[in-house]
Amino acid sequence: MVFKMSGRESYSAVIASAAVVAVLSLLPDNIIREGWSWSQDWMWFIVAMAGIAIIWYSGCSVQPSRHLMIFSILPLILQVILTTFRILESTDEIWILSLALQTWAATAFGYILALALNNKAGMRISNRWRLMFALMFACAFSGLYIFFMFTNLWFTGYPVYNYDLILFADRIEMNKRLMTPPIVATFGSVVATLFLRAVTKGSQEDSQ
Amino acid sequence: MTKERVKFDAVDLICIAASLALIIMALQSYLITDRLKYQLYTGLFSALICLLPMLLKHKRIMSIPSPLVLLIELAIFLHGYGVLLMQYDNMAWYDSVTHTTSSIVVGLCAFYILLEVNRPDGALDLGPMGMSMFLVLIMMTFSVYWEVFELFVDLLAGTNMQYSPFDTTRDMLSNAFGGFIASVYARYFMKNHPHYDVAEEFRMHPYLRRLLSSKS
Repeated sequence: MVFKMSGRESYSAVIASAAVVAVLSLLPDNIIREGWSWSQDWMWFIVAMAGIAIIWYSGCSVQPSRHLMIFSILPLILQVILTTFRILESTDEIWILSLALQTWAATAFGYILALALNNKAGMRISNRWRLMFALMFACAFSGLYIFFMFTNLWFTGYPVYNYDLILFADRIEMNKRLMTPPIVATFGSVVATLFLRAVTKGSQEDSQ
Repeated sequence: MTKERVKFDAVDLICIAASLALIIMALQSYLITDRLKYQLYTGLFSALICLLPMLLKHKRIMSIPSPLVLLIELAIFLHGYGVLLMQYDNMAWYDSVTHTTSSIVVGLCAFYILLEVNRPDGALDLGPMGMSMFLVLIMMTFSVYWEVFELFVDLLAGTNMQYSPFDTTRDMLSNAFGGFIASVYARYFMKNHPHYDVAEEFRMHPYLRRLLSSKS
């Protein structure tokens, strides 16, 4: 379907997928087994909404290639599938996979934003700099995630202050929890950008 | 053709004074505490970095503007002072001050590098808004990379670079604030200096100019 869509139709598909992801992210973990709780995936909600805003902003100024659209829509579709597992049985593995997909999606949205700024806002951003922008965009979201993680850890009663964490092992354990999203984003954004580079090389995006 | 002599000025004196102060503090710290290696290396490394702007100028590689040199010296000195005289442990807010100062410095350095690459006929032509946006993203990315680096060093070497989630979050906030200040300055600067030539103002070495031109 995506292969034969026009630019406008494929943009609509991305927006629709992002909207579905945003709605599903508001479902808490394990809702099927345990009922309602306050364990929604707020960061995915923010990333999906940011994606919708970016696509809406770019409008007709960007005519995405088929490969770029596939690159953008794939993490969203995979996240929808992953959410069906998350609402049944949420595990650390599912969370980490979700973080990887989020990094992938954020990289794609960052690239589209850079393309829109290039075409619409009077800036000139070559493809190399757009890729850099996309990588940094994904990392910036992981930076934002740190604040959410801290709030979540504090709210659920984990030790988060210096005086709570005297033992080295405890400190490392808590820092590992806090830093999981940025670690995934640090490496995931590089991989995603490399793929994006391959996707956009020689394409219409490369010539813009 | 003889080269014009690079003058020794007040900023050079400040660089030397900061470096000497850090060396003295490193020696003092070596004599009275048991955290020998980390403090000694930090003190000596910071003292060396304090001399860098002066060396770059006198070697004619580049001549960083005085306000930026003073800010660099302040950031390095504050960090060295904090480590050598235990101010990071004695004052709860000290870490936030150094993170904010350092992130302003890093943000400004990133700004001037981007400004040199930013050309109407080049690969990057950002307006003031675009430059601000890039700088915010650069600073957030650097902050994330730094915190990830700290955790990996702690995991591999058993050090104590990253304290607690609260400390890490506070560091990120300070970095974000410093990056915001740098991006606001960048926007104001670009609006008021539309034809600022970084290579010219920084008196960059011709090789460095060619390198930056070829990479843009």
